[in-house]
Amino acid sequence: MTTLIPNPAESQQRNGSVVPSRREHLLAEVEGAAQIIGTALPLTAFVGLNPLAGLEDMAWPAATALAARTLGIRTTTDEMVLRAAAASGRISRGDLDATIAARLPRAADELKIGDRVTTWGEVVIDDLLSGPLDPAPVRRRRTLAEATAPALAAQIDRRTARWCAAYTDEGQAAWTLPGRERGLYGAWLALGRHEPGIPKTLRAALRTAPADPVDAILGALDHLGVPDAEVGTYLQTHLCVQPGWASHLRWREQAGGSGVLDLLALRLVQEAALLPAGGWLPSLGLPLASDGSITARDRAAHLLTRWGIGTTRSAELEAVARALAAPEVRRDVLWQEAYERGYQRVLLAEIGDGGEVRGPSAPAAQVVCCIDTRSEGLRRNLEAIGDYETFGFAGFFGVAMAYQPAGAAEAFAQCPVPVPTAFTVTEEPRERAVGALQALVTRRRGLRAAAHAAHASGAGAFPLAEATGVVAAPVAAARTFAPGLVGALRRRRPAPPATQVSLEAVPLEQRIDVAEGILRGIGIVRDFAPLIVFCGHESHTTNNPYASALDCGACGGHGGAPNARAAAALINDPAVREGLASRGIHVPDGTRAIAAIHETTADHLHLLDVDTDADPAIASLAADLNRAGEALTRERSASLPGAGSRRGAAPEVRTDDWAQVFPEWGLAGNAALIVGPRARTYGVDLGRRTFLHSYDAALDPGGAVLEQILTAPLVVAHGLNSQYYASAVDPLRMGSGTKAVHNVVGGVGVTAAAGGDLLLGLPWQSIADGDRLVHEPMRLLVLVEAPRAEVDRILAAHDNVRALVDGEWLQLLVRETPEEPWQRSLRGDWLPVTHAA
Amino acid sequence: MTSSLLIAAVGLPAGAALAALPARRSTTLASVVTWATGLAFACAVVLAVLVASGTTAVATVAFGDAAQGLRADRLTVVLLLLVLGVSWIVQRFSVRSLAGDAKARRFSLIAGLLTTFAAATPAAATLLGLAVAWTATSIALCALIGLYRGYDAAEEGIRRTGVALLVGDAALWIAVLVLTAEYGQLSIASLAQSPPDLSTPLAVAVGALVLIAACARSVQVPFHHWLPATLASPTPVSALLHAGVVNAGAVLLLLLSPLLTQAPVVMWGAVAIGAVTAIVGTALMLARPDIKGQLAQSTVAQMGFMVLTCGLGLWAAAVFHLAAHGAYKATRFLGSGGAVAAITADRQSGATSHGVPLGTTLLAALIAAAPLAAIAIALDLPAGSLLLLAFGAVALTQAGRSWMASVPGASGILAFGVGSLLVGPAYTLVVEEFAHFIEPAIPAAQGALPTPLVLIPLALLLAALPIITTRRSSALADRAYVWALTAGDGSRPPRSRRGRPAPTLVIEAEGSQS
Repeated sequence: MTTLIPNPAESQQRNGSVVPSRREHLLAEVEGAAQIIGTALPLTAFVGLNPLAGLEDMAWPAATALAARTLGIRTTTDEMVLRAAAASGRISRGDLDATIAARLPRAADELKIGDRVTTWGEVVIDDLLSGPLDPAPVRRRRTLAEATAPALAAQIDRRTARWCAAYTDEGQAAWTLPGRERGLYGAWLALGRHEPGIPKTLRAALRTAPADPVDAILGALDHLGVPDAEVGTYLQTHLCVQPGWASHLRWREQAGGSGVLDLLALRLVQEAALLPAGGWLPSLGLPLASDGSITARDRAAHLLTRWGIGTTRSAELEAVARALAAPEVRRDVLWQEAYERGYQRVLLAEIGDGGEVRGPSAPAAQVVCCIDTRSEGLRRNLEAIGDYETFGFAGFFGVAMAYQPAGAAEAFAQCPVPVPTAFTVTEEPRERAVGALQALVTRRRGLRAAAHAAHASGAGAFPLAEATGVVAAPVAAARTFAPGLVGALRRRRPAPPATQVSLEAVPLEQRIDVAEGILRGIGIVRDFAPLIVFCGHESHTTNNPYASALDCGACGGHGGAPNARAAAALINDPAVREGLASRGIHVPDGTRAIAAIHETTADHLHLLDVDTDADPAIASLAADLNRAGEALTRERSASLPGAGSRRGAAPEVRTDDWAQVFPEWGLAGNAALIVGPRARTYGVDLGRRTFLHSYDAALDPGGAVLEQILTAPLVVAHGLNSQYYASAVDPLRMGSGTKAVHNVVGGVGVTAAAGGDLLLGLPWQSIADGDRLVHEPMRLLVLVEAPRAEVDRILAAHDNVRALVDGEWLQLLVRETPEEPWQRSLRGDWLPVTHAA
Repeated sequence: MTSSLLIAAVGLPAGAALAALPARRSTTLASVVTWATGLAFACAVVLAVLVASGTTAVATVAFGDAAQGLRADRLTVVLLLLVLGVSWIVQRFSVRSLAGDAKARRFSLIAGLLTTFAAATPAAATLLGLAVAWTATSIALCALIGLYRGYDAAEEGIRRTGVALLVGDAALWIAVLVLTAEYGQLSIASLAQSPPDLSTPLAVAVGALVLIAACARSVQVPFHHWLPATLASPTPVSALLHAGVVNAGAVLLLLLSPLLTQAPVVMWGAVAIGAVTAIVGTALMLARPDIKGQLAQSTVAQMGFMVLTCGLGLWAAAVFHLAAHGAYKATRFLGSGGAVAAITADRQSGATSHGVPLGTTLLAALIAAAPLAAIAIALDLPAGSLLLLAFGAVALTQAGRSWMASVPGASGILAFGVGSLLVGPAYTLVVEEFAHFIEPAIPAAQGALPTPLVLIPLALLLAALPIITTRRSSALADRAYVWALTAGDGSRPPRSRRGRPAPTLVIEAEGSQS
């Protein structure tokens, strides 16, 4: 487990009644314990991250084993799904053989069982395909309260969840937690004793508990008699009881609020007050036998019975068991790898060697889309319609800004989560619209304030419900029976005041830097088309707590339009163009940058900030984008649940349908990131499953662009992929289960009832249809066409990326030229990849 | 004709659910039940027109010494329209929102049954029939809440709901059996026209039992804990429950009011319980950090207000409230997924309600009250209606002061003035038209307590709530907040005695960690 070294200056400052070394030690233990817990972003900006990110410095097999027993979660695809995949040919026999050969050093060793000659590998595969299923993982360690007084443990959980919900509320309750600024633990310490029916010992403890959470935890650990060596493990056990709130507090700590330290203080003070002193039990782990684990001998016996040999001959039983007990045999890991190999085999065959030159020679426009998997569908359909050259680039288009929409009260980060914002950009009304915008903003503010005041007005709430009810009934009926009509009415509302997004306030030199970064990053530095389109994407859904999970992950879980507009404005800026020219990028005067937005729910495409009719080239671009969107909708409709069978299920209607739990599939199915020229994938239907990042090694002699790609977009794609993966492999604990019972808490998350733990990850309806998984959970496959030496240099320079590659959190395949076979990077070596069907 | 319409309106949802049960696909069952409920709603609309023109629909068969079956007057058709309309919307909503859900089939079946039972409750021809429909509704409701039995919270929900409804249903059955033993089968119609004269002890006993039944169903204090415990059920279940089931308490009180008014103490009890529930529910609602918990506590408060108006004998107001609130709350539940977007929009609008000058508040009160007062005078409204309008004026005033604080200047005042001029009188007219429509079917207003004596203190108490909830911090405010936060999530308070850890076996050490 990792332990971070605490900042000495800080610990000097916060030095309380406890000796500094013990305090520092505890802080390190807390930080270490929290590594098992992911970071759950609020639903307002819900971007996918790896829930096991804290374990990324371990190898994936070890990290998943740790998570499985510590959190009690499933970490690989359900074996029934995999066996079905093997039966259908999705996992071929070759995939299984290759996996075993790669994983099991003694795979080819022969075994004689009766009159049958087989190999270790065969035995393992037979067991995978027909052996008993492994039991679901269980959380191995219990808290003292769980082990000795389950009712008290439940009470602690309920109370903790209640205070976490009150503390993290972002504006649901009208009556807010008094003294919230004291932090989670501080607020509870100040108020908790007022709880009706609170146990007397807890009330007394609240009066005497130290104000500092560290002291409080130390005191509680002493009271319970937790030995020093067990402290880290025990703290981790507590965090794993309600990982939802713990994960959300991990985010809140980064945002300047209370973190898991407060959570632990809240839990441990309760436990110490409710349990007798010195009640420590030497081991709180469940006995291994109780989880129903299946031993290698059991498996061997099962196989022998299946082969009709019987289990009487103990020598043969031992021999088979020895093969199955080899340390490399992690059944779940082998299965998962075979599953991924099956996809990889097909994908590599589809891409092929890209021998012939593909794509238009003199494009009418160069269209830059987000790397998002949904862009693959748009690009493919657009390219099929006309002479368009398309590119993939992280959807924030290199503009790492804090963005404040026109009339909004706050700015928010409009760039990938790990990227710091470089400057703030405010959306400004165009000159003639200043007044209209001001009026709109004032009206909006007034209406919301009035609505809240009326709801919280005590006596007024009763007639208000009546008055609203009279109007609500027909509205509810219309939204339910005619969502399409509601959408049509919404679209006929007057357009909002015209605005612009400009970076003029940013110093010129910085603007030129950003513009240069964009063009070099995409790989458009010569052969400019007359039009360069920056096409961001956003999702329009209604009544959907997970709306932001469908927006642009590279834009911090928001729509991508502001970044597209900013990028276009930047490239059109004459001063910037002058600066670019001095740096060797000559954007022709005849080239114009345009922003566009792809509404992914209905596949509507709009050009932004341009008069479409003014220029025939732009008009034809707009028409082609529309046609591409229509083609994409037709393509997607086939896979949407309920499409075609009933009215109200067309993608366009889903935008406004408040009953729709499958508005779109988002990034479901995502499986690979391809970094290379579009020519290699041009014309190939990748099924909206790949992130596509444009890259041309010839334009990047120093490898700076590649370095940027492998350290940012790769990490973003890995995060999104991991979120879908985790939600699909354990839909109830790493995903948030069915939407049917979701209850939004504080605007930050959902629970499954009136209280309890925050639910992590994506809902079942984002990854599955009925009982069928739509998202195939696979670790990200990264294909890069670049010099291996450059890749090696970048991996050496960036520990976090190297940890992902060497730890097998993702798989990196590289080829230098299209003709050469793909080679896999594994702990510093390059191994050629071959696939037999 | 009216009798067949009535039978169709009440029976179609359950009939279709049972008839389509053999259908293999859950979507088929859902479609059939949804269409049947829509058809039932259409029947109810036609029936409403016919009943409004003067006929009373009766569909009964002689059974024992009474004519068992259904009957519908103006009150019944209003409730039929509410229950069937909401159920139709909710079921149609569920066709999409529960698509692919393993429980969708079960939901359709039970929702069909529940709809028929809930519709039959106000349409029952006799007291016995009412009790049967009432308990059938309770059972169907428990089955719906238990849809996701795997979740711990769902188990808790069934248990708490079951206990509360069992108490209420038992009370109702005792009352019905006592009355039947004493007076034979009582028809609802005869109850209204020539109620039996009860002795005082019997009137008090029966009244108390009926009040308990109404309170248990309509989540009155101390039965208010079961409603938040139901939130582990799917959103459409909550919508049905809050619109068509919990408000049946008022229907029961209204239909049995000829008996209840014979024991004024029961009516006082209803007033007291309703008032306490309204205040408690409001306080708990304000402190809920979760959207569905907020909606559930809001229902508690609204049901308190409904029972209060029943106790005051303001029957028309109670029925209007239960119907309009039902539609409102079902809509809010179905749309509860919008909570994240709403909070984002709030934050981005920069709306705040702090620091409104007293002058603005007074101006808002004046603008809010003037149109209401004018129309009240024009319509010559009685004191009860007048006071309820005052509650409306409070809402308008609060909205108006926040609006004018955000939109300063003459334009803000003008806009609010126009709004107040439109909303206030429109609301009043709707309420009065409704009261006029329902009048023939409800008892004359006959409260045991003078309305102003109750409503004015209640309004003042409720008005005092925001003073506590928006104060920065004080001992009283802190205490009140923690109470509201704790009591609002429907979980049981811990046993106050210190938990004694059970003796535990020493568990063998965990194996090596590989």
